[in-house]
Amino acid sequence: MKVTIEKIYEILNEIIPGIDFKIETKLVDSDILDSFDIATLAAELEDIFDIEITVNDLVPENFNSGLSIYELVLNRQNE
Amino acid sequence: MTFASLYFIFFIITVCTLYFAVPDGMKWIVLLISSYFFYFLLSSVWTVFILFTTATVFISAIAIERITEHSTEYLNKNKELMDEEQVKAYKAKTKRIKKYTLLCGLFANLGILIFLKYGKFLFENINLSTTHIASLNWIILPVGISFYTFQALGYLIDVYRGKYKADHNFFKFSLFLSFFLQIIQGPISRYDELALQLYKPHRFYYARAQNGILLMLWGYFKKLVIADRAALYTSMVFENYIEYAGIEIILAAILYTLQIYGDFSGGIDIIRGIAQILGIDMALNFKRPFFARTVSEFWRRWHISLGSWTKDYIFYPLILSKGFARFRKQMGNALGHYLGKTIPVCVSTIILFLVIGIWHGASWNYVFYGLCNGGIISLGLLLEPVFDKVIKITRLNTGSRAWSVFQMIRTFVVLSIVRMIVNAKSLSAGFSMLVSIGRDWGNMNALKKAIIASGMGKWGAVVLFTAALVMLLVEVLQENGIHIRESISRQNVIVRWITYYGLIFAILFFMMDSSDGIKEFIYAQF
Repeated sequence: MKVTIEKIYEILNEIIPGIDFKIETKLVDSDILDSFDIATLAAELEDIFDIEITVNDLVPENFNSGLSIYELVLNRQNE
Repeated sequence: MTFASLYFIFFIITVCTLYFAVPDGMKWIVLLISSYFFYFLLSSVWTVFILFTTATVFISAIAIERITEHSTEYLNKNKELMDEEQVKAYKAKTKRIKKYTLLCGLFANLGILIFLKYGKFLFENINLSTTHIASLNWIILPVGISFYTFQALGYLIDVYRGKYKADHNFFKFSLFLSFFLQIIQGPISRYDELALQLYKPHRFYYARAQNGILLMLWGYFKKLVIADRAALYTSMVFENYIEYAGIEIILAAILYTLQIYGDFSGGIDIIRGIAQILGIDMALNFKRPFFARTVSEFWRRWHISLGSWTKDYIFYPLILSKGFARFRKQMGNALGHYLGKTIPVCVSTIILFLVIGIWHGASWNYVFYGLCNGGIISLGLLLEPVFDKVIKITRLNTGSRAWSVFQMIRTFVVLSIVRMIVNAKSLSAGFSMLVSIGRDWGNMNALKKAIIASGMGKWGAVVLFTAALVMLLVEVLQENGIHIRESISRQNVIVRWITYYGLIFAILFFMMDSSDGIKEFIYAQF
């Protein structure tokens, strides 16, 4: 499946409902996403978008916002 | 030479003086010689083990780097002569060789750690003869082996992952692993955070040294006034728990939590304070853990470097592995989407905390510690939809202060009970203590007698209570974003010196000085 920002928001809402992911830019830094959420999210992204995420990708910069998550998936799909 | 001894203070003064006196190019050498001198004093011939780890990891990292460089060079030269399949096969072969090199380095060092730390425990539990078990009595655990082994393996895995290049200076790398401030009780540092700071020369800055000394004094206060005083009562009750009733055991559980926090975080504050004097910023290992509202949050605030290490080198690799991807698919097909994605995370969590538990030591108590923490967090993850429904139905205001306070108290109580069981002489003793709380509550007179009998006395109890309140107040201010040392440094000279001398006086006047000397740090045994 080709990644879209809307799909990313949908996945995030499933994991942590009640957050406005369109405006949040510090999901990891503000502890909104903890390591269990990141692990669940990374696994979901791999399954849904058929990409490979490595441990090196699991850094706060890649998961602090919906946009950065979208860009991570886009880069992996384009590889 | 414990951190709380005069010999150590003298050692630090000598190291700091030498460090700032020598030319820039020699500063890291002063740290290296000091580190090995310190280590040899503590471990004597067992120093050979840290040397082995240093050498094997140093060589393995360079080997991995050379394999990568050779492979890149070969592909650049020959890619026009190779088709896609050949390139793929060559890359797969390179990856395999790198992996085997990594595994050799990992197994060699983990093997030593497992044999030295867990050999006797494993032998006892697979019912070997007492002769076999007795033949292992010569084993002494080298100081800091759990800390430096994890630190070394983290570095090796990072080089394998291409996070940074291998260190090509054996002596500098030796300093990274043996740095005397972290060897006894961590933190478990990352190469890219600590190594460059160690190798780079630092100048003496008075303001920074002042801040460092203040942090050290705070660490000594927590260790000598709070932790060692609480230990008087906790050691008495844990040693002879049968003689004590519910209320006395509850007090022991609470004081043990205070003791281990004061001891461990106090030690880390001392280390970080000394490092600050030297111009080195060591990793934060505690972030006011008793403000945690869940067990999961607690582990982001307590022994942060161990939690972070196991997250990056065990938890995430497990979750992202092909095996767990297949497991996720199977769970998803059998149990639906939510359980399909949550159960693998729960299994990884339990494995993660099992490792954290047994990292602490070779006993069923620590296995229980790990499984309990992992189990509580996993149960929370599995039941999250149920909790969300209950909150919705009851219209519970989870944003309220009262709810936050309830969560903090709940987390504190749960973890104090777990810690009480783990600290008991055995698991069965721990559970007996728990049952005693419910069976015979006791009375206040007996509690007062127990406090006096422990050697703490009425006055000691008042000191402990007041010191704990001071610590709580400091942490409340910090939790609200107030940087206390910075605030103090902005005050006029009289206020600053009252603070410094006040702390020194409090430590010297109220510190525990038992007849057998100052107690060793609890985490030094790991």
